[in-house]
Order: sequence, then structure tokens, then C-alpha cells
Amino acid sequence: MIQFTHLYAGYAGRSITPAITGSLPKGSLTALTGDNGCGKSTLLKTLAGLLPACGGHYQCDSANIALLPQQQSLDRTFPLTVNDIVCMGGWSQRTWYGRLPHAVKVRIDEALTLTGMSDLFNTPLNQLSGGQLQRTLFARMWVEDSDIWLLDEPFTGVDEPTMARLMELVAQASERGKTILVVLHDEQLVSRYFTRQLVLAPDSAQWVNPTVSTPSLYRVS
Amino acid sequence: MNVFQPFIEFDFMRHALLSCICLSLSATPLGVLLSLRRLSLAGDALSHAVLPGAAVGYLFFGMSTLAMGIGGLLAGLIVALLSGLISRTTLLKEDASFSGLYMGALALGITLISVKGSGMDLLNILFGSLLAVSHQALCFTAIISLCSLAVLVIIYRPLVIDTFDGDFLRVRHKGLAVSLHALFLFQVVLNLVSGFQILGTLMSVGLMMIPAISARFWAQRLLPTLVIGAMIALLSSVLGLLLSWYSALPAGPAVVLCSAVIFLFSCFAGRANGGLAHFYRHRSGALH
Repeated sequence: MIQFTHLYAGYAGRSITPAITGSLPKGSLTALTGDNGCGKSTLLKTLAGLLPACGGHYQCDSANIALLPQQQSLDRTFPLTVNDIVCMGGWSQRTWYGRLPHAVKVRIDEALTLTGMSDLFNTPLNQLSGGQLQRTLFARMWVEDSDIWLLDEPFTGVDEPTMARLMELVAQASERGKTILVVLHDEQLVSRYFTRQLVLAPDSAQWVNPTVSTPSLYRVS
Repeated sequence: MNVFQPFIEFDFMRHALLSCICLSLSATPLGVLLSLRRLSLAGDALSHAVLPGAAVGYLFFGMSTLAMGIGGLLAGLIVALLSGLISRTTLLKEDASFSGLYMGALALGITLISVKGSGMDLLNILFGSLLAVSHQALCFTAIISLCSLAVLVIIYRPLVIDTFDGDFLRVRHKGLAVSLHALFLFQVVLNLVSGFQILGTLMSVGLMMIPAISARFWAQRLLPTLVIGAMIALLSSVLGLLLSWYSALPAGPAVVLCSAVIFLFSCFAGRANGGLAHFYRHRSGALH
């Protein structure tokens, strides 16, 4: 559950988003849309605690947050394998001498199966396609088992079947009571999968119900 | 006659080899991480930044390893902190703020040494005196290497996570990411200080970075990269020292030169990402 009260997100004290009021209930699946430069990523970073709020405030009932970064922010030549990246999700639960508890190992297997990466778990990062990297990052987030998921454009450069598979995983997580906020561009995707939508514009933030609203109202990109 | 005769026969050659081994084992893994953090230039900058501190030590205590070491450590840390501060409070990225500071530090260091010392001392400080490593300096290097390896083992996992995806760590453990970075830079400075007695301020970063980036051509996983990096550093130390012994070349430059040759060879023939590997992959791709 996240509660916003006149929240402004931005950089260095300059707010980029309009005032946002409302809430993300526990277990909700919300799409965050809007034109470029409306501060979608900035809002996500603010909620993740990476940036201070520029005004107003928000309240999270859990500090256990996972952020799925944009792929471009990662170094694709980094010498790691799929397994290394997925295991990062269990890092904070390691024992002091570095062993992963059994429960986490089970979750890692589960995540690899759900994302279909089991066969590729020993593949180096630089041999992964964009879609495979994205599946790896989803698996890592599954292992983290956070209460709040913040996804920043998770489907850029991902083909249709992979997207459907990942979206299924997101829906499954939301059924398990995770609060999920996804930055998206694709209006069709929003109306197909999401229960709530927050539309950011330079001067207003609107909560809409994607199944009711007509998609043609907003630009499809 | 045994090729390794000089190491068996002469104390100073043994000291030189041992200090190079220490440096290879602790500095090269740091170099790999430094290059992965896109701070390769920062290593260079920090090694220059050590100079004015060492120069102040030299002004007051002459060519004493301990005084120059402590002075160098303090100066390196000040520059690291200052550039961290500049990059966090202004728009400049960390590598840019480093380069803004280190040339000044180098100039200040050379000026300070020239005020009092002779050209010979300046040369020794800039390029090291690998063949004159004292017993005390060797112990100093060994202790620093041991400590820095131990610290690296402890912080290895979070440091790798922070290097790959900084936000991942910052979301959940806010303070940890900052302190990891500070501790990591501290280790780098410490290793450069122990390296500057051996290879000099200008070249100590050579044994840290060149084997590290060469190793990237041979491995696709991180742990093998670190191990291969250390092995390349060891190999170039032995080869460099032998080369300098048999052809009467200056020792420090010979070691760094050997690693540079290995680097070029790795670029060409590296199994993982080298030119030849690319060529073969393209050709087999074309055949299929």
C-alpha cells in the first residue's frame, strides 16, 4: 500500500511531475503512463527512495521495495552469468558466511522456471538477447520477494511471447498481494492486463480505470 | 644455468619479485572492479594524487618509506573524497572531477620535491626503485596486500552488486552503497601507496590496470577474470624482472612493458572477447 498526498517528484528540488494524490492499494496492479518528460521514471525513483520528494509526501507500509531498472542503465558486457544475477535477489538473506538459505534456493529455481531461463542459467550476460536479460531481471525480482514492485519500462525491446509470459508473472505476483506499479507506453497492454492506470501530464495526474476508458483518448505509441 | 638464477642468488631481486607478487595479488583484482565501475581513469588520477602527500613526507623526513607512505595515503584520500564530493554536489561525473584534480596534484607534488630535492630523488619517486626495495618496505607492502585482500573477500558480493546495478543496492540498503564505494576507493589508494614505493607514482597504476583489462579478454565470469588478472600480473612481474636483469633495462618500466605486451596479445588472441575469437565467431556464423 502506498499513499500519496500532493506528492511532487523531481530532481534537485525542481519538481517534474504534477501533484499526485491517491493511493496504490495492496495487491493492486497499476500502469503509469504519460508522455516523455512527464516524470514517470522520476516518480518511480522517488518511490524507491533513490530521490527525495520535492514536495508533499507519500507513505509506504513496507520498506521492502524492488525496482526493475531500465535495461539501458546496465552494462551488457559485465562478466556475470544469468545465475549470478538471479542470485543477487537473495543477497540480503545470505548467512554471514555467504550461504543461501534453502527457501531462497527454492525461490531461485521457481523464478528460473517461471521466466523460462532454467536452461540458460549458466549463460554469460553478453550472450543474452534483450528479452532474455529482461527475463533474468524479472527472475531476480521474483527471488527478492519484495512487497512493492516498481517496473520501469519493462517491455522495451521484448518480443510478444516473452512479454505475455512476463506479464503473467506480474499478474501472479499481484495475486500474491504485491503492490505493483509499471511504467508503460503501450495502451493496448494497459487495457488488457491492468486494473488501474495513473496518467501523468505536465499539469495534471489522473487516475483512470483502463477497462472503462476508451483507449483512443490517449496516444498509442 | 637456471633462468631464475638471479632470484636465487640476489636478495634485491628476491625482494623485487616478492613485492611484485604482493602487488599483483591485491591490486589487480581491484583494477578489474575499477574498470567495471568505469573508473579506470580514477585509478590513474589517484596514483598521481598520491604524489604531493609523498612529497610533503619527503620534505620533512627525506626518503623514508613510512613518512612518504602516510603522506601519500592522506593526499590520495583527500583527492578521492574531494572528487566524490564534487561529483555528488555538482553536475560533473566522478571521472571528470578526478581529472580536474589530479593534474593539479601532480604539479604540486613535483614542485614540492623540486624545492628541496635533487633530480634523482624526483625520478625515484615518480618511477619507483624496484630493485632497491628494503626489507621494511617489503613487509609494509605484504601487510597492505593481505589486509586489502581480506577486505575484498568480505565486501566482494555487495561490491559486485553495486558495480553491476547500483540502484538495486541503494533501494534497500541506502547507506551501504556509499560506504562500499568509500571503502573500495580507500583500498585502491592503499594499494597505490604500497605500489608507489615499487613502481613509482606514475607507474604503480600500470600493474593494477593493465593485467586487469587484459583479463577481460580471457574470461566471461567475474571470479575467473580476477584470477586470470592476478596471474597475468604475476607473469609480467617475473618476465619483466628477468628481462631487466638480462638486458640491463630499468626494472619497473620493464614489468609494466611486459604487461602492456600481454595486453596487446590479449586484445588479439583473447579467448572470450579478443579479435581472433570475434573473427572465428563471425566466420562460423557465416558458414551456418
